[in-house]
Amino acid sequence: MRRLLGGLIVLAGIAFLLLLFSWLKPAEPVANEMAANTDVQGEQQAQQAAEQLRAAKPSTPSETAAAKPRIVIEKGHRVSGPEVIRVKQGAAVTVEFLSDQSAELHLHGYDHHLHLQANKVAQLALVAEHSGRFEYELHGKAQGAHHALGVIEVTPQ
Amino acid sequence: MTLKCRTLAAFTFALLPNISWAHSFGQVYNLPVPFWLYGWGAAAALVASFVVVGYFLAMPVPQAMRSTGDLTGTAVAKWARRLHLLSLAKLLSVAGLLLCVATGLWGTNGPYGNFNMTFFWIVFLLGFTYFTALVGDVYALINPWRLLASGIQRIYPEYGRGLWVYPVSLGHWPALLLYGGFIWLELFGGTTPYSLALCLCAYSLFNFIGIALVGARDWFRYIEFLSLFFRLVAKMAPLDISEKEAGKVRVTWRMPFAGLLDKPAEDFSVLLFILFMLSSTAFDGLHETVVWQRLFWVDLYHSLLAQWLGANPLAAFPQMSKLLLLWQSFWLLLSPFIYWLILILCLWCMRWAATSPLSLRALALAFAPTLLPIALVYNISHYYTLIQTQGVKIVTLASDPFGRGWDLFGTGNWLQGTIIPDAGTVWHVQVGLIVLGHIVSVYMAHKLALQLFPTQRQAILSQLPMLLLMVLFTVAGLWIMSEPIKTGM
Repeated sequence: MRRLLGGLIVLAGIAFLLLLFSWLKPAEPVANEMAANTDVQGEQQAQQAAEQLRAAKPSTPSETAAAKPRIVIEKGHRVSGPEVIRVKQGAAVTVEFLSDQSAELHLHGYDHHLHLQANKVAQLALVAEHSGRFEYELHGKAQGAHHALGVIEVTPQ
Repeated sequence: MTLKCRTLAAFTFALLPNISWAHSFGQVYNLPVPFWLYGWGAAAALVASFVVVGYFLAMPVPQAMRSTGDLTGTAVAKWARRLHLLSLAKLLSVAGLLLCVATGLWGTNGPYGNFNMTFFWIVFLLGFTYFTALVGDVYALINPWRLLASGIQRIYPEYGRGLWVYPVSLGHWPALLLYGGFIWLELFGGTTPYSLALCLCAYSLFNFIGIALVGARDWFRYIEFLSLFFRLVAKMAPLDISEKEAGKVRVTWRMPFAGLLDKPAEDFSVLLFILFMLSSTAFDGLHETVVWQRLFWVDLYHSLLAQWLGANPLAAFPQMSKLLLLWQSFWLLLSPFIYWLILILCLWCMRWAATSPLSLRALALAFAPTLLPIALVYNISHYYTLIQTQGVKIVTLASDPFGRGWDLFGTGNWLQGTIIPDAGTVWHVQVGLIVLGHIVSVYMAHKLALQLFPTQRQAILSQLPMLLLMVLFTVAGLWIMSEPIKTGM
């Protein structure tokens, strides 16, 4: 009898925690086309969808600026642009970089390399297939090399 | 201090990504745990703790029976002996150490291209630790320094006896101090393959000299910190491995985590060692967060340091950077004592609630091992993705240990891409593990209380402060994991 009670207490606890979990877990966003496209074929669709959604929204200056963040690098330090660029998994994002010196930019995780020419805007385009926190930094002999300049955070779906 | 000054300080703080106090090694791509999951984890820890209390209240007091059995004579053991598994493991252990030194001294200095960084920091320190938690204290059998020392002893029979008697009143303090230094090195030392090889050489020399002075038995019990570390982790394993005399290994099985109740921690230094295992992992997570960095760069500067370093944060930047290391080191080394203070407070309440004649010291030493599951799951949550992303690369590195483009086993070109674990999966594993570890700790503490206190009622009352302590440690760990991380850390 007492064993049964003990067992029931444990089961009740587990049931309560499961209920609490499903109650707290945020509902998946319904109208997010980009999140659904995580396969390779969907890449182009994702980019098209992104363009369409951007075109469909009334474009305010802040929104167009947010669509293509620009990171300005001087002497190996990030002087302008967001420290954290947040995107949803599956979204296509383009980040612009402007460096005063020629350098090699490396995005960890995705292992993207981008060659930056002095005072010329370069674009890093990627589809955020993998979720996580990815730092980018300069490599090679440039000033400020191997110091993380910023991070791209991809939130999972 | 003016608002302008505060803003300037915050601006300087924002420039921080340009200093890389990088993790010793290994890329971690984990995102901070989202608030809803952290909240659930905290609630789960609390609810589960009370479920355990309720369970113990409901169940009749168990007999002091221990599920255990001797495995030494079984078929599996005989098979292992026939395959000379232990000798193979010993050989691999010594070879691993020597290869780490060799590749560090003569191989590439790029941390990801050299065998020793991945092998030592990830395969050994993480992988072997988790292996020990599952399989038992294998390290005691294959400790490379112990093996090398017994090799020296074959040539000089007097070697391992020792010249002096180790003063037992010193307890395990040498091991604790060495462990503290080691964790400091891991977090702030910025080791490269070359410096790691030098450290291993220095530690080997230190061991050999120490064994000559103090004798192998006391050295590996009180001073060699890895022996103590793995001995503690192995308490959680379902296998109890012991070597009574040389060559005779006895293996018994027991319930997982039952080893935590075997005997109390030997002395105060072991208690601190256990607390440091917990607090150092917590600190590792904490010191990378935005909130911790802000505490130093904005709040501390603003309220205290600006008086000495001047009101201009940009000008004070270089000195602040130097102070940062001191500040971090100070809190790292103080962290176990903070945990100790909280533990003592809890135990004082426990003693009062249970009206126990046992001293605070006795209670502390008895209950300390029950914190080990929390330390283990916190370690796993924080570091396990490193095994996924970097640890597997050991397969490639084994073919090219020196980073010279060799391909000894044909695996040189495997695993070229980076394996990125899905952030959502990682979150659920982290929080799930932490809650499970918490439940184990609370459960084992209850069982211990039933052994130590005369009545069931006293035992359960005594566990309420302990429950709060564990919830506090667990929620703190979860909170640290949910905090945003400062870039460049």
